[in-house]
Amino acid sequence: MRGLYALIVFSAIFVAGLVRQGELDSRGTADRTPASEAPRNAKESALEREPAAAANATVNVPGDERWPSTGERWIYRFERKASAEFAGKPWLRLSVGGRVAVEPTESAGSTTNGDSRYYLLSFQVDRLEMQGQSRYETIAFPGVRIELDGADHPRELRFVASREGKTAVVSDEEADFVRDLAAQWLFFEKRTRIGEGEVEWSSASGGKLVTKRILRYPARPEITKLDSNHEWALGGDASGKHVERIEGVENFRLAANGGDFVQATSYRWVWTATERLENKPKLALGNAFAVDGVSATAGEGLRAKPDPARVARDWPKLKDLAPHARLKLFRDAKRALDAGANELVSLILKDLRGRASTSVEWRTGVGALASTSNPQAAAALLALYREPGRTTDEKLSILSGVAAGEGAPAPEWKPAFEAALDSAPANPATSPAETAEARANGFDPQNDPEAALREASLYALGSSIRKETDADRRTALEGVLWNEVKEARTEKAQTAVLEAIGNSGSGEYLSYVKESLATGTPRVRAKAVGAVRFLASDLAQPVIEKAKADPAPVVRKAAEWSAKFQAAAAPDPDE
Amino acid sequence: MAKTLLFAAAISIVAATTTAFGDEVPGQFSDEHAAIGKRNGVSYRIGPIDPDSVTVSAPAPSPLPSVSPSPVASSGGTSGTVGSGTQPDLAGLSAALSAMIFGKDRSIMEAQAGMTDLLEGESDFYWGGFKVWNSKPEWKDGAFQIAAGLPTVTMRAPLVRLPVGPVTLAVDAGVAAEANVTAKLAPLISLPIQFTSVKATLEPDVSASGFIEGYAQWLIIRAGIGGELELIRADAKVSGLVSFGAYPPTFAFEGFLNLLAGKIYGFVDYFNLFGWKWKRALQPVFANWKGKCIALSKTTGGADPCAASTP
Repeated sequence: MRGLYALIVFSAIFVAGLVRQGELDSRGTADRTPASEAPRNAKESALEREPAAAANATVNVPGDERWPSTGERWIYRFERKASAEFAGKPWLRLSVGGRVAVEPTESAGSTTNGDSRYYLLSFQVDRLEMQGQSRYETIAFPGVRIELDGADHPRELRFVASREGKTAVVSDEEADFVRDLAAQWLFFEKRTRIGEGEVEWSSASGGKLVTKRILRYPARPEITKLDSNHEWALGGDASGKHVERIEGVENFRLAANGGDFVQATSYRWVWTATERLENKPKLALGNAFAVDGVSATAGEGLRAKPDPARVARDWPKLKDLAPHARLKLFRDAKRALDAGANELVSLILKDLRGRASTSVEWRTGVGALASTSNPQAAAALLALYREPGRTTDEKLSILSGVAAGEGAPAPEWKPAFEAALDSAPANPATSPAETAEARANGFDPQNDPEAALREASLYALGSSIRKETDADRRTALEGVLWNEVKEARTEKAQTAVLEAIGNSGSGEYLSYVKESLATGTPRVRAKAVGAVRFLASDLAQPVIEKAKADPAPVVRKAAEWSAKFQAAAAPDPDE
Repeated sequence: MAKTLLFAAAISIVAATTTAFGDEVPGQFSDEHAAIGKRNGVSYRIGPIDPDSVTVSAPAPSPLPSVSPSPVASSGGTSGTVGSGTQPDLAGLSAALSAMIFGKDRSIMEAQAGMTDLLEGESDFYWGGFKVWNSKPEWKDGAFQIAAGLPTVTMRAPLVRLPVGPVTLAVDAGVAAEANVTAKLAPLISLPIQFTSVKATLEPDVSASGFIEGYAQWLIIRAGIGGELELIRADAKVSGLVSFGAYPPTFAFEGFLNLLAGKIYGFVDYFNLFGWKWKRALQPVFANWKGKCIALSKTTGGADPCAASTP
């Protein structure tokens, strides 16, 4: 570890050396003019700051005052600064300055709803400063079209072409920069570039000055100290109303081995002019993006979204891929779906048509739909199950996906579970005499498709309880399982409901589990102790300890098995 | 009645073609490595169903004279109990795969295929630790047959925090797995039931990958950790004779297991403003594992299945 941090110090020196060398590159679609050593417009380089006003708790700025009117373009001068320090030593320091234009525009390309409004943000950098060295060159970046809904919230952000008619191809670095600037303008959103913060609002001057302070980022506990202050000021003059200024500071500290990492950032936009426009610009649109730029799953720790287009291109080749390449594609598809790539749902469904339920295409496709948190995928999986002509094996496979997959099931699974549970007896025949009698009556309990679907539905129901995040829907599903618990009389029926309880991870049924452990057959007792494997430790441990002393080896084995799951879920003592 | 006649036919056919099974081979395969201070590894077990893991009952009294069984050479596997007063109610084969990711053990697959003492085929599957459908074996050509295609799954490991350069990242890790399990159970009926044998084969074709991802971008620096860890690629088949307690099981393997190949690395980039692009400042490699292939048998002609396997 010492060697690693020596390497960091070396690399900081190395970084400084690279900067002095001064590399230039021309990736992406940013237009660049030759650099010079002097600023182009000295007047615009002077920025003034208004004193902060007294605060109160409400935010009171009418939505229509935040955006330019038809025929107007608001022009700003912006400056963005950032510095980083590690273990008390400066590591990197840079700033950029330039111009931003905000204007209304028309919809183009994909649209969502009739109440949408559209605005265009255009950015141009003309001053770069890094480690004390300055350069003056003009770099124009791809603009951003913002679509707002009726409540003034951003519905979609999409890049536009740098030249009319040309499709935007945006490099990662350009995209990062544009996202960062757009996040500054989208002041009233809680979700920032880093993540969703707990925000404290205040306003003054009759609502013309609004302050947002980010108190903490709940998903970022590693930020040990946060100093955040952001202001948005409304103004006006003979040319009309406009956003006068936005200004912010965000400094944070991350605890790290060998010393803290400290990053200090600030931004400032100052209105310089309002221009009149004859026509709204016509736009050629590129890809949509999110301001935060990372996959929309829980917390930090995931890399940027995988490319849905690449997943779509490779998906038809599933069978030809080596198993590990196929598993990687599966994970990329899941993460793309989690991030909202709904186009992959129809691609997967199309690929499933005509496939056997044991085929690699079917197993991977159903698995992808069952593993994602994407609601459209969840609905598609249920629709696949309900399709007329679906075979029993296909339905069983889909139910396995619901039971084992990570994705929350569609709410409409409840009636599907209930229908399957009602379609076969809760207590099937078990003794040879009962089986023979049932077969004589034309019903084979060992080979009945409805019985298989009933059992598979029970397991999927249990898992659905575990994954359901809506409290009311979860209670409703728990009620369905309770009905099955009450009906179970035979050993086979009891073991099946105990398996479903195990899948649910719900302490709701603990009384039944304990009763089964006390009074059941060895097989029932074994399933009872297995049913607590996903419960909280304080609920599960007494059951497991009691089962470890059971006279039947099968129960003691089941207790060991359940204890392994408890150990895997226990917090790491090293953390 | 028809099924009983089929069983009787199966007895005579199989008795004529029973062959001795291979030398003793281990029923469990595992390997592990440490990366970033935590254990990571994979464990794969395949063999007869553990009698302690099924319920045991007293043998039912037989109305027919006992048929003396032909002794089968014992060659490894677990020891059974000849002529004991109790018997397991399920005889067959089982396979289990688990992975350890950052010190935490995760069950990936547990599969079991057997025949009950009521002469019914039965299978049992846990996939990702969750109970999934019991595939009802189909009776065909004198044996119960199972084909279970399990939908591909991912399982998340608990989040860990790892230092990469000056930044501590929250790392997302877990396992993705796919499996297709086939099994065949041909009963060789003798009475009393504990002398009944089941000629069983189980072929769990399973692959699992570990993934480790972490990424943080702090405007002017970004750091990440990534890696692919091929936990296992198993094309293994076990075949054997198991009974309801009268004989020790005998079994043999075919195929191969590829375990643990991959690389876990970190990176720290800074934003070079003048080039307007990210530049790599650090790229530590935390683990680089070449992998191990275990050949379970040689194919006809002596070819090494590991040489032919695709890692």
